[in-house]
Amino acid sequence: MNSHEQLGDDLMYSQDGQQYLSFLLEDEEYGIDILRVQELRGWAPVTPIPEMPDYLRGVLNLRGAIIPVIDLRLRFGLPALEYGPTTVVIVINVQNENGERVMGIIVDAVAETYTLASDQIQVSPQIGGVINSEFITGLVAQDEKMIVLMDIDQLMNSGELAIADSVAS
Amino acid sequence: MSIDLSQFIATFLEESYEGLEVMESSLLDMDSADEETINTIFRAAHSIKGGAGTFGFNEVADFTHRVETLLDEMRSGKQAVTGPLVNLLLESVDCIKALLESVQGGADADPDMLASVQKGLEAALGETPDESVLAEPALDVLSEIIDVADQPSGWLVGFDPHQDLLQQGHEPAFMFEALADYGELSVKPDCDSLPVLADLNPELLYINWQVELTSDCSEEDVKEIFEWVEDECDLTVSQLTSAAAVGWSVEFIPGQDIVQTGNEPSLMLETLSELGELLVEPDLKNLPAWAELNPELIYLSWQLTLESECADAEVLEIFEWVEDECEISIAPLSSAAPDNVSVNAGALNDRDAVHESAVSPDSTPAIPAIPESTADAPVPAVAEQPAVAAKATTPEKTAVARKPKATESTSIRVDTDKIDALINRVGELVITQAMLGQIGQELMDSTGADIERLQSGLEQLERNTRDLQEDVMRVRMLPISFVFNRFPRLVHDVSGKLGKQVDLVISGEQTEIDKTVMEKIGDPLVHLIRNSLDHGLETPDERLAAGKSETGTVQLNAYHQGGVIVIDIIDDGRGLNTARIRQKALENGLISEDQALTDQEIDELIFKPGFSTAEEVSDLSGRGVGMDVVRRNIESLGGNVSVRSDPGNGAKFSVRLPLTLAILDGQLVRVHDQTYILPLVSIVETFQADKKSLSPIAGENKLLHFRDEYIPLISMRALFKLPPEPKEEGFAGSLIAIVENGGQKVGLVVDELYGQQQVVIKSLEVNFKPIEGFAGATILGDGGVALILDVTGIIKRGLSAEIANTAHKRNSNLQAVPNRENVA
Repeated sequence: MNSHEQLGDDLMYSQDGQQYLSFLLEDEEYGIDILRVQELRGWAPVTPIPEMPDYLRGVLNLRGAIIPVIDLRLRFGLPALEYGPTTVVIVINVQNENGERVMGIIVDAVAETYTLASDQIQVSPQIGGVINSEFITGLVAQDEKMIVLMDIDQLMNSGELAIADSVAS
Repeated sequence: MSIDLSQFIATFLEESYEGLEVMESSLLDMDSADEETINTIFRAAHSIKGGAGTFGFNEVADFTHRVETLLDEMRSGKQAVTGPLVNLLLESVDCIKALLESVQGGADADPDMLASVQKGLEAALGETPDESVLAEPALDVLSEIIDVADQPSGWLVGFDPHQDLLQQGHEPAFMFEALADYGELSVKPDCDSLPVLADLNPELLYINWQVELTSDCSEEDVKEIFEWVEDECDLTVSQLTSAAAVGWSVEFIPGQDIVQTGNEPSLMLETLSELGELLVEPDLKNLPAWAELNPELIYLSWQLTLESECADAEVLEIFEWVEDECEISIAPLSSAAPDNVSVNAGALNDRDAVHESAVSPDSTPAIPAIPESTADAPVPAVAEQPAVAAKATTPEKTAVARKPKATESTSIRVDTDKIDALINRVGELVITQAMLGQIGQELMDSTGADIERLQSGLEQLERNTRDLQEDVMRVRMLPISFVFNRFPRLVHDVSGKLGKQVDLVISGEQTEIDKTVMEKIGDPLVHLIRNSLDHGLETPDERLAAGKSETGTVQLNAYHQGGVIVIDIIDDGRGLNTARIRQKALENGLISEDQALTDQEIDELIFKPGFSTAEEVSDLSGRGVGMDVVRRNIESLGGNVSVRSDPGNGAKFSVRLPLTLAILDGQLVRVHDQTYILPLVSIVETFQADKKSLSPIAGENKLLHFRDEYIPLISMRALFKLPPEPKEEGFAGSLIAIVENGGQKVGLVVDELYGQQQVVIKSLEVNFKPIEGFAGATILGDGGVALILDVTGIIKRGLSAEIANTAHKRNSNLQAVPNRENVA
């Protein structure tokens, strides 16, 4: 059942499922829709924005575009981790009703890509964890471990990150 | 065949707007008008009406019809050209514009405005509202074409076999049968060549046929059937239209008084019916109620369908006698050639041009990005041209604009998004170049031929990048005449209302400015000009009494100065009444009784909120909103506005604007470990504070005593919740940048001042959201991001009411200019 592919292969929806990129936070593995992923970057210091929540680390220059960078650990209230060589910034395209935004999320490390059929995904129970269940779309058991699938659009348009209604993107 | 109707409509609208501009500028020129001017206006109105009718924009057509009638009366001398009448026509132009815009999908035209102008027109024409006959929309040729396109069309086959066809073993009946497989068939034999019985040779074929086939098959399919007899017959295959017959569709709208001039429509219809089969449909739409029926007038119009092979000239000939008393539009019944001939009062109009341009495949009616009215128009030599009342060389310019479209090849229309992408790309290049430049600097110490080559290469790169950046920026620039063009009309209208005589003199309208800046500067300029007309200029009597000429002058000058564009609005009126302004400012508590201010400083007070010296509120100005809004709008564009007054001789308002919103001159400052950029335009002064000039208030915050004024200080570190500077007590020795916004000065305490440089403004909103206190971000030479401070937002966030009040109080005691108390 487990078809394992390299990132960068032909990422097409197929009959037998959807592709996910998984990354690590603390000891847990999370998966996001791979079609949202634009690129992976190593960590480099960003420009902080004063008076913003701590998880919004700042903005960086992505080939001329100014993109905000969010530390997912801090977003979910996990203890901060020293940024190191394995720290990765996943550049994602976030969709909302106003269009598309490019953002970066800081994670401990990138793990795998999976192709998952819908019948493998279990509806998530109401778990009382660090992650608000509204951002979780399902759970998948893979190779003896549990992967939590996350709705990245929902997450990135929540709280402080939400665009004020008055702003058209 | 189908036709893209939207293309026609776009062309029609474009030409109509052009026509309206011509009408407006010619109307404003009426004082020195000759017959040709009125003709020009009439033609423009007529084209709009005709086009509107064609597309079924009845409201536009009906309205314009009245305007046209009025113009016609003026043209023929029935109506005298009077000021009120010209104003009425100008208002009509506005109405037509509004109607067209609503057609275009904009907001509906204001019904009150329409009704009042409509009434005015009726009154001018001596009609009573109900009696008027509105123009009929011309035959909707195009929609008919569209219908045709939707209907199953087919083929008209003329089959004229040679007499010996049967002897060759062919059988026409089989061919017809084969045709019938494709669709519905109707066969009409033509027995004209059938000889008398005595001469009949039974082996010969004397009959030919007209076959109508309704089918969507191709012409090839039809011809294939007759392939075998190709050489034994004459075959014609032509496209069948829903109006299968060949002929003309004529719309005949007689003038109401056509009968009184001794013409008889029925006679014309009769003559017409001699040309072919005629179908007459009367249109009773305009028949008034019985009570209002005037038996001597004709209220009918007719829709005639003539099946005939005659030429259109033959049809038009019949109506020749009544050409001037009616409206005739004639269109072919077949859809093959939708060339619509419209004849009215002998003026063949632009509508043909519309058709040609839209039908001919090699023409694309595109609105050029920069109309040639500005691209090619000769720059009006103001020096040679003494000012003409409310006239700003627009007539000549529009004349140029209406040159044949051949000149348009010199400009193309480009989506601004593409240009912006290009600007961004160039911005990147500038940053890359700066980065390489820095590396080059670091290599200065090393020697060697290669290094020198690298250095000179880098210098060249810098030059080229700068030039490229300037060139690309210029792509977004348009001549300011786009804004100035609306002012002649404004001055004409407003001065008419005020009973003043005004010359508007415009110069420097070719000065270029960024499109975005231009879109936003129109309203403030309108306000300033109105202000000059309303408050600046005197009535003719007053002017005479003051020993001036009756006619006042308002000058509008635009020119480049350094990296900014300056727009001066100069009037030769009474100037500002400094005493009154001071009086008003005292009443409003803007200044205190014993404050010593220069006249110049007092004059500048008119930009404060809630300030108005108008004795009474007119609909033009005097509500006390205005100058402060003007200032705020101009400052939001990164510009500023100032006033100089010479009592008795006039006033001059100067608006200074950045050439572009994409680049900003910035002062780089350090706060804690971050670099920020302060817009240079808002900085009054930067210096190091000494202990003497600081005056403590309870707590951390301080006031700065600066040039007879107490200025509140905002610590950037405190504002950004950063650890305070390990400095000696207070801000002594700190670096302070005094910034001003909307007349409010504050001192920003920063850690270090770096250099000044031009930066490319990047929006934070694209991928995030706007953040109060920041105008955007930019990318520095090292590739890092620096945030650009927005002074308005900083003051809003950082200035507590308490500090502002304290400053205000002390300033009052000091008799210095106080600070406004509108702080959040």
